Amino acid sequence: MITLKSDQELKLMREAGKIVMRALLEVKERVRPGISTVELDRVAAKCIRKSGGIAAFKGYRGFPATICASINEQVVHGIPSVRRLSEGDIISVDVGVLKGGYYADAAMTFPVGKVSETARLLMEVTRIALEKGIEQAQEGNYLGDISHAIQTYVEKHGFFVVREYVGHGIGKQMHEEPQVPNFGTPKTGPVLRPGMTLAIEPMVNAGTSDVELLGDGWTVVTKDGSLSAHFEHTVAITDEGPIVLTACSE
Amino acid sequence: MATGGEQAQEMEVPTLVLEVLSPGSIVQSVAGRDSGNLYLVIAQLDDRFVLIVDGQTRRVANPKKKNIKHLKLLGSLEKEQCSVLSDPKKIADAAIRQFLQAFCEKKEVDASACPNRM
Repeated sequence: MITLKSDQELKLMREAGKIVMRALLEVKERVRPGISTVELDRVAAKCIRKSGGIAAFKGYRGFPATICASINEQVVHGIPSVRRLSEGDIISVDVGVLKGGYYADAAMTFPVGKVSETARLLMEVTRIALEKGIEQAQEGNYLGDISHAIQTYVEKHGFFVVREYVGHGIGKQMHEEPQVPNFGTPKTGPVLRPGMTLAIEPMVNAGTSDVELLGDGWTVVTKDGSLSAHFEHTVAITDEGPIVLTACSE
Repeated sequence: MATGGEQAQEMEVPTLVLEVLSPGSIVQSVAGRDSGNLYLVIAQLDDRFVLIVDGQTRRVANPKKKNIKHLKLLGSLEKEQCSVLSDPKKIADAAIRQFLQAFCEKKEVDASACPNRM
């Protein structure tokens, strides 16, 4: 069942969303060659704690860290480790926060130093694909419209959306109905209604859409070893259009 | 955090053979809200429970009682380090943090398991 949120609930989710973005921006400032992903994890953990939130991923089904840090060919759910970032890497950072009983979830991919032209384009396309998806998050549209907008924009640029992992509804639970795939047909799926809150998250690969799960049970990588980027926002559908609950601005 | 794929399957919780967990063992919690954290075993209470500390959130003055089924053995302290455990009350929290940090760096332990997180 898709739960609709009241204005009051959206306010609480916005509070959680602000903390998510604060943590992401603090991590972004620290991203540079030589820093380990554990250090980035600590930065996010400290920021979330100071802001009065709870790190939502830590302990979720046994996930051991505050952030998911996925480097280069890692698509999502990379576990922070002592691995240090190198010049030319790209790193996707996913953060989730619980505050006041409600969740917010967002992700961004950052360049480490100077990156290749493909990497830069991949990140740019993924970021804009997310914007295209959010534009479709209008009352009366269908969920398939969001999925289709993301897929067409990505494929127009010669990249591939991941099909095995998808976005999701979010609110009192981190994962609620409906699932939000990054591929689909317009005018299909549930009709979007005010009060729905969705975590829209295109995961885009440079090589093929195929992915596999590593032995740690979490890290998802591209099967061909090609680069992957990931951007995500928690978005509310309202009668005045989509509101990004994890936006930067106060 | 995306959903779907094989992630949906329940994760298996590893269990331990009792004999290998003793004061000086370095363990990782695999169940509970502290799941993923790294600890040092300072005492064995009975055949099910041990006392664990990380020198930070769980200090020697207030160790955590934990079921050994919920711990994964990662390694143990060097012999000379173990000698300080002969009197657990005298061991300094700072020393424990240092042991665990050194262990982390040596062994590429996952993420926030490392002490001094947050």
